[in-house]
Amino acid sequence: MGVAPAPIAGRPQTRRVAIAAAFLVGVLALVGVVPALLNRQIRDIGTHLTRDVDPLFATSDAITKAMVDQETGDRGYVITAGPSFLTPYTDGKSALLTLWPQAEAQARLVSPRAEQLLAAERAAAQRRQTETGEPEVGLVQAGRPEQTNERSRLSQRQAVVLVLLALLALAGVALLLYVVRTAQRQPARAEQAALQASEQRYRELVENANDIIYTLRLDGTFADVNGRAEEILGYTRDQLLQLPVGELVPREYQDRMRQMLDQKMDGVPRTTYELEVRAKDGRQVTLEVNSRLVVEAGRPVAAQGIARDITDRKRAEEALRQSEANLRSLASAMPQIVWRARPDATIEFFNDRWYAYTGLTPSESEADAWSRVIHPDDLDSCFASWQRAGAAGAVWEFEYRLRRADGVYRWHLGRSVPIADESGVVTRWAGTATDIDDRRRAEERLAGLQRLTASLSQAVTPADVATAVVGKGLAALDARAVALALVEESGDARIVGAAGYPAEVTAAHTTLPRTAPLPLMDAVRQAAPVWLEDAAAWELAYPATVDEHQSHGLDATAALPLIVEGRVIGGMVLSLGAFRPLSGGDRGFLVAVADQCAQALERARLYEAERDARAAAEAALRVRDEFLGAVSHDLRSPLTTIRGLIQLGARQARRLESPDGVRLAERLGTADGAVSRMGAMIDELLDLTRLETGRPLDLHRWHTDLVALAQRLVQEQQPGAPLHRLRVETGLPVLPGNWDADRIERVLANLLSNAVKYSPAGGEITLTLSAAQADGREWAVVGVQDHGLGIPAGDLPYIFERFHRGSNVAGRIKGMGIGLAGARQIVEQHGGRLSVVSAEGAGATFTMCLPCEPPIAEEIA
Amino acid sequence: MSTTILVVDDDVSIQTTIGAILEDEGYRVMTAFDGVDALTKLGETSPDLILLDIGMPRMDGYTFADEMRRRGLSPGTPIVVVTADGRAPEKAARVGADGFLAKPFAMDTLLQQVEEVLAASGTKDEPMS
Repeated sequence: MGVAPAPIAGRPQTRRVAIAAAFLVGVLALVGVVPALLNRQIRDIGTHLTRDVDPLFATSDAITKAMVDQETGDRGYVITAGPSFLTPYTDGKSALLTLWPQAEAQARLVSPRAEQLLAAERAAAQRRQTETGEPEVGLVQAGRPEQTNERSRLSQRQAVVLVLLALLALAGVALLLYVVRTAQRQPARAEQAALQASEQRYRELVENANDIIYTLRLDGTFADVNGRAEEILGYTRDQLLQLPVGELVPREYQDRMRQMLDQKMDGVPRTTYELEVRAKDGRQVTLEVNSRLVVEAGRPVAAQGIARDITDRKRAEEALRQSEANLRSLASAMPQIVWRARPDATIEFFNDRWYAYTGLTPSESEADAWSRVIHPDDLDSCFASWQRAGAAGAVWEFEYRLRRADGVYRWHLGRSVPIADESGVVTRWAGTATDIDDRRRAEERLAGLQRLTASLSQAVTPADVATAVVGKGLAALDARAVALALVEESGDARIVGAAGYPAEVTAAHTTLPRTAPLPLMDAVRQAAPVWLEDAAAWELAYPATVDEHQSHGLDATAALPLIVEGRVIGGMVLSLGAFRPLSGGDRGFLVAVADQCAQALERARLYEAERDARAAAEAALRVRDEFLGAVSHDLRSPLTTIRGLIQLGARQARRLESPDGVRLAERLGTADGAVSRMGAMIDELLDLTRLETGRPLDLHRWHTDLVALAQRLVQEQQPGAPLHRLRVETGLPVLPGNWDADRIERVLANLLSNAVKYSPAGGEITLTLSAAQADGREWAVVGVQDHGLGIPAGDLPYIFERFHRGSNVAGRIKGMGIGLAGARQIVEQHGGRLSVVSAEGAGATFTMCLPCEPPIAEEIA
Repeated sequence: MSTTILVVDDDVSIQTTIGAILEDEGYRVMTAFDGVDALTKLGETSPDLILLDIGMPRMDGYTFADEMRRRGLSPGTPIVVVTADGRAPEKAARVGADGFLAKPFAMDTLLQQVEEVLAASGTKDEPMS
């Protein structure tokens, strides 16, 4: 056992042996044997030595352990770059910082020589640590492990060895002093134990690694593998050490391994590559291999490496790749345009539909793709809405027109959803554009049809219908021109409305002869639509019209008969733009429109007929009224004369004061009564003609006293009712109001004569007059009470209806005059009410309530 | 001097009838068969009351009343409108009349109306009985 380390550094070929020996002996002495020996034998030796050497040994042991840890950590980290190795490295380093001074202090107690030795070795160890260990660790941490090299690792190893040798020297001093014999008896066992302990420590670290750590000889067999290899590959360690690597690695990957080895041989310090191996159970395991050459004595002897199992990761990557591919193929197969964009709207991806629809190439689709194809009118609002959605991180939805490759714009529904990363920041937008043109057109059509229908429903003349069809129909029907014709009695068709045709065409065709070779007339004659979907059909069917139509372009054309209850009343012809086949939907729609038009025309016709009939009826009524007015006017003058002269005659006859005179006066009085009734009848007749038809009368309001009126009326009527006693009952001297005195008199006369008529047995008939206040107004209330037949309960609801007569009097009592219906109308025109209370056999009481002043509304009017 | 009443009516039988009744009552009666005639009559004398028909040839009652006032003829003389249709009150109002009579009227109604209007107009002269 040498005590000087110097020769070892100078003889490389023997260095390994020396290192190993020193290392082993030192460790043996410090870790295993020494404490055991001490326990047994040191007691026999001087006590002060025991006291001083014992702690030094313990400290030396700790230093050894710390250095071994540090070395293992350093090596492991440099090889694997695994951070798990850094802990033993740094722990060992910091432990040494306290252990060194402690050991020096203890060595001082043992001997000055031991202290010197220890201090020198400490300095050397720290210097080497600073020169090699830390730079290497730094390089690995900086990601350049390839720059660490064998030499620096060897020097570091050397440093350890030197320290160990120093410790060994210490141990030697102690042993030489006290335990030489005993120590020499156990060298083989101690050596073995120390080796095992070191191996154990190093192996634990390697075994605990999460990756396979291996050493592969250049002949293709493993020199060493760790426990993780067993777990990953399913073989036991022994099996692996027996197994040529070719058994493990499929042929195609063996080539790669060789390539990588060649690179390393050529000076690439480290290779990193993926490799597939077969586990024992046949599983494919993907490994990420990181390996370097092991060089001994300047010659490569093995490859040492770390292999990480990335099977799961690869599988996940593959799954992701597959799902991405699936999504792309799905996106391509979709009938919609599918895209993905960055938040700035730059497109990352378009599906096939995009290219097929827009006709743009991928390079044309890169920049400004949207502004190339979105309708200029929709572009700004579209982007604005997208930016709003983007700012809000909300789902975007917008309808816009998108240009197809052939230049036709079709409505699309754009939708997109923001895709946020884990922190919620929107990183992508995924979107679709769905062609909704057909749907939208159908909606527009429906809305147009509704507008058209609404217009048609308000049309009251055929001209209105034509205006509606021409005004609303063009847009709703997607037509360029439309004309509407009505069939006249001659069979010719008269154009009642047209739009979209050149003026000269419209002017040339105001009436279409019954036999004209035109689509419209064919439709009318055949009572069936005519569809012209291509130019050839047109030329074949209507050769004569081609020239004229060509001046404004031949169009796809629909000519439709307008049919009401099986009768063709007219026709409609529509120019529908470029020739094209008309779908069943198109045709059905046009037929429905034609049907609407036909119905509207029929309604208009009926309306006009009814209006004419009403006008005629009204004119007839007016003539009758005028005639009656003239007649009554003309009758009044002679009546005035007759009546005046009769009354004057009667007066003068009475003045004669002779029996003849008195008789004459009486007769003239009878004549006067008859003339008076006749006058009243003329007025009633006039009113009747209006009241019969429910038309209002022109009221002539004048200041009227109901009390005087009632008294005069009773006086006048009494002579015609000899069986009855007519009586006015009131506490009022006057009951004034603003009424049409003649009409009110006629109402009361009617009520009185009814009372007389329906109490054939006679009796008292009372006219009761009173004033009342209601609704903040003054009212006159007049009751007419009789004690006659009364009105059956079943008739009560109807007695104010026109032409109704009580069931108990019909056929027995003659009815005439304005009737109760007229009476009620007069009262109501005054703003009043007429009601009745009666029971069959118990007489009846009619009550008239009249506001004394006209209602406000009437005053204003 | 007895009270003079001018009867303006194109119907001679009405003139006769009203004239007979009024004369029987003691009034002095003048007649005119339309507005033109009546204006001429007013140039000759000033009556105490005018009974005025509306619908007449040459000049109707409305024009007559306006013309009479415009010319300042017989100022303050009350007018009673005599008419055959149902709108006597309106016609009376339009003429600015003091009363109206709707044909056919009773003798007593005529006399009562004449008396009332004369009383209201302040004509003290009583008819001769």
